[in-house]
Amino acid sequence: MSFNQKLSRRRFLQTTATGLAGTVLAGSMIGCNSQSVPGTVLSGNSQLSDYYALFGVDADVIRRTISEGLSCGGDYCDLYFQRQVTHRIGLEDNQVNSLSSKVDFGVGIRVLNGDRTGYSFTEELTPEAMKQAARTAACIADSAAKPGPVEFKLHQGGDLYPVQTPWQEFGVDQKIPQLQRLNEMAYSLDNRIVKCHVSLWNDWSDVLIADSNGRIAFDHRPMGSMYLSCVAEQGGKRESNNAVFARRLGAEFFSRQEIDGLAKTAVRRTVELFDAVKPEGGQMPVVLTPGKSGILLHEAIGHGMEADANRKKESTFSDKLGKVVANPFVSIVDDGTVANARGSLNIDDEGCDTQKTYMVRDGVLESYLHDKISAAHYGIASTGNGRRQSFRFMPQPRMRCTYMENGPHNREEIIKSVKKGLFAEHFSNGEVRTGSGDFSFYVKSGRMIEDGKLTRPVKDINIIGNGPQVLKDIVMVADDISYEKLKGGTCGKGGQWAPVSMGLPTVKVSKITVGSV
Amino acid sequence: MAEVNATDLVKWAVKQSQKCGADQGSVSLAKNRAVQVEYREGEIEKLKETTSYSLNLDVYVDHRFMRNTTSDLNKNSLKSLIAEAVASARYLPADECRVLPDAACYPKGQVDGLEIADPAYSGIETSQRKKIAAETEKIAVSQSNKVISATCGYFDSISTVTFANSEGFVGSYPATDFGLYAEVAVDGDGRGRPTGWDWVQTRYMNELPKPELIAKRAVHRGLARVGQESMQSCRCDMIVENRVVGARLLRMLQRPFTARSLQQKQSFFRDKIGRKVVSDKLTLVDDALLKKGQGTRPFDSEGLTSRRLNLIENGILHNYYVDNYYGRKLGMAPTTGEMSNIIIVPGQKSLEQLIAGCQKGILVTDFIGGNSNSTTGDFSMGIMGELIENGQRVRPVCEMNIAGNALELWSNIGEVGSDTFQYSSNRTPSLLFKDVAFSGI
Repeated sequence: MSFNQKLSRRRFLQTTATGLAGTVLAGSMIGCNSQSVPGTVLSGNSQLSDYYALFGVDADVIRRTISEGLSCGGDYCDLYFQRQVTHRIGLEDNQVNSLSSKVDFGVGIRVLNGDRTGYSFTEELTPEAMKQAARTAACIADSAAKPGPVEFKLHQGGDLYPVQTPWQEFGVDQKIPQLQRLNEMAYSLDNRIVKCHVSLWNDWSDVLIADSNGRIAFDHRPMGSMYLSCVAEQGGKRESNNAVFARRLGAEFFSRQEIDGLAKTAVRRTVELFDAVKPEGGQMPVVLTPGKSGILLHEAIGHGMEADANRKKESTFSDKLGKVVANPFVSIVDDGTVANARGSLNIDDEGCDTQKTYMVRDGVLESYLHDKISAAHYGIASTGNGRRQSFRFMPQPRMRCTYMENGPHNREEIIKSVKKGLFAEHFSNGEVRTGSGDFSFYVKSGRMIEDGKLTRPVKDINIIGNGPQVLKDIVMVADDISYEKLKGGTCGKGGQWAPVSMGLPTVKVSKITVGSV
Repeated sequence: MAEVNATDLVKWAVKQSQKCGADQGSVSLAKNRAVQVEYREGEIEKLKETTSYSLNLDVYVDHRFMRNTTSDLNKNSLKSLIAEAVASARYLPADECRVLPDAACYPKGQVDGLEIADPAYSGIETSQRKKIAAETEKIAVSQSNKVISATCGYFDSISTVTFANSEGFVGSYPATDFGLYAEVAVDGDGRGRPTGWDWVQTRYMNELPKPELIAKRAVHRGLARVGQESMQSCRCDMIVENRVVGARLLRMLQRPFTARSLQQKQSFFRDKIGRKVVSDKLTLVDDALLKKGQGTRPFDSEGLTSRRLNLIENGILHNYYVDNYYGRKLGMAPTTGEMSNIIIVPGQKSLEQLIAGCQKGILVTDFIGGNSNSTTGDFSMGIMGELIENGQRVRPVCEMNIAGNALELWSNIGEVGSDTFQYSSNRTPSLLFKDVAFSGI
């Protein structure tokens, strides 16, 4: 149990990779790496038998393990087998200087008894070790044994992120030129750049999920994430800023034009800061530009709609289902089915299909985000939001890709409508207290709006508001969001991190508190 | 997992790395056993019991470096992992700073007297764990009919770190952690359901505060938030409660202290050793040898021997966090790259005395969101707390931001409290800052 336990019930969002930079989470390696872990190399085309081979199990071992899980009378048991291989390669001072890899391999065993959870995991996939872990998880119940599943039926999920070039086949030697190219582009764009850091994370996770209802499902999940940060100097002053691109893709990731765009974006964001001022603090209209601005939704409503907080009556949204919470042109969804988005999943981490879930439709609060526990509590089907960091953690309701659908206004008229306000462009992190609904997010850079025009750049501003109030204060919504503009982030909740995506059209919030001197 | 002799395994892995062509190697294995019990509505909400392994394997091949992390301790798996790590590292350009720390950097013999492993750990029964969590929840719920929900938990863990490298350093130490927490949601009288939390962590079980204290504090803090609202923007004193100084406020100083930030020109502390950088009321120490400290360890993850590191003494910058790699890049001797126990040397006044002496200010009891820029020192973060007028707590405030520059803020310390928080690796007292910019309505 780590020191972070203290933060276990708070919710954080980290929208850049910098939050990971201090820890070794990822690395890069040559293609033959897969030999170092048991089993075969899986891809999007693999069959159930390949997954059995990867984890060294068969239907009979799984059945016996689940039966052990139900030996104290639990209602439900599931097994979550996972092998995740993560690589990171980093460049500083004009040369690639760091390389790391991480392998996570094991099975998480969960037993439910009503709303209550018993959990254990093992990193050793022998029948004996699994049985022992199952017995530990079984202790959440205390009655007569229940029968396990008789047979398993394969459930086929979606196909949202087919891999063209598996990461396993893309070696360090092929990655190095990609990092160097980005580094050179950044330096060539502006002679004030004095330092660049480029990091590439990529991983692939193979999961096999089996439960006591006899359902079995698997998924191959690729991910790539490229990060560039720059430091610039001008007249003895120094500024830094960054940009990141993340998608569920194989190594075809590198053919995406957004990678080249990172250099331009990071350099522009950095050098603009030399002219940046701090606006006057206090309440003012805030316009958010499309993209990572979806952090507004993530914090202002998303976490509060995760059904665990509502099941426990701990969310400010606990008594608002079916009520009008926003203007009629506001529809907010959490969608697990956006092709290649960082937050998308073919199946969630409980084996349920993901879907497009309307949290707010035409201004009315429509649905919470459910995992199996909360869905059973409310007597409905899971919305496919059951997610976990890895096999070492129990699932909880989590967002996937959270965005607002397009509205009736356009960007120009929105900017023009503001006499004095903030135009928020680049975001780093946020946090919410779901009980009171108070949330905040950090604007790394943006501009002032004065008399309907974008003027001076501004930097390092925290924004704070109250979720239900800010939803009401969304007074204009433009028509400029698309799936391509969804941005990836990493969300923390209950001590677990999960990849998410978010997006927002250009939106005007009529008043919100801007932190400044 | 089958029991493995950790020392034999890590020494074997170092030798194996060298056999595969690495000129240097460093291997550490952490074994962790953890139990967590959480109660809600009088019943166990969560019960989690786990044992896990994590092996870090660092290879240095002709000044090329790679790190691998795995939980698979099978020797055949490790053999191929090592072979591939060496092969992968060869793709990198040579970097003369990629070598192990010098032999003089490692501990000489056992470091005694740290008291970070509770000998009573093995005798703890799960029934005891359940009882503590259950009692905390029961007391929390019974405090007030405004309590909507209380989630209370107990956790403990025992871990053993075993380390070996090709410079001949071999070390191992066990450590235990115990924790108790409560989070309650209360009826906010029409403005949401504010939460109050309390959280403590100790190295010895018998040093955990009683469930009653944790439960009552969480409820008290939740109830104190009822009726909270924003207020007019202003400049006034800011008193920050001890337990939230470390987690949030100090963070703006910590990244700039690292050798990586200095070398990458992302630190406002660059070239400032020996100079006065903040108020002379601040003395900031990182003490990895603090007895029973939650961040205490005999050596860090590079094997660097632990020490007490004076970061800031009476406002003057004395030391950085220097790891081996960036230290070599900067030409500086390594100290450690990792924070341990962060101590602000306490002053004379209790929190109540700080409040009593404040004409107009805001007592910050929690931060929400926010961030800071390690290159320039610009920061901004959300706060909640209580308005103080004429030495009295007036009403709860929320939905406000503070903003400014880190060096200015920390130069404006008015008073350092005497009430050092004992239950985390951030050993910080309450602090009073003068002339802080609060943004509200």
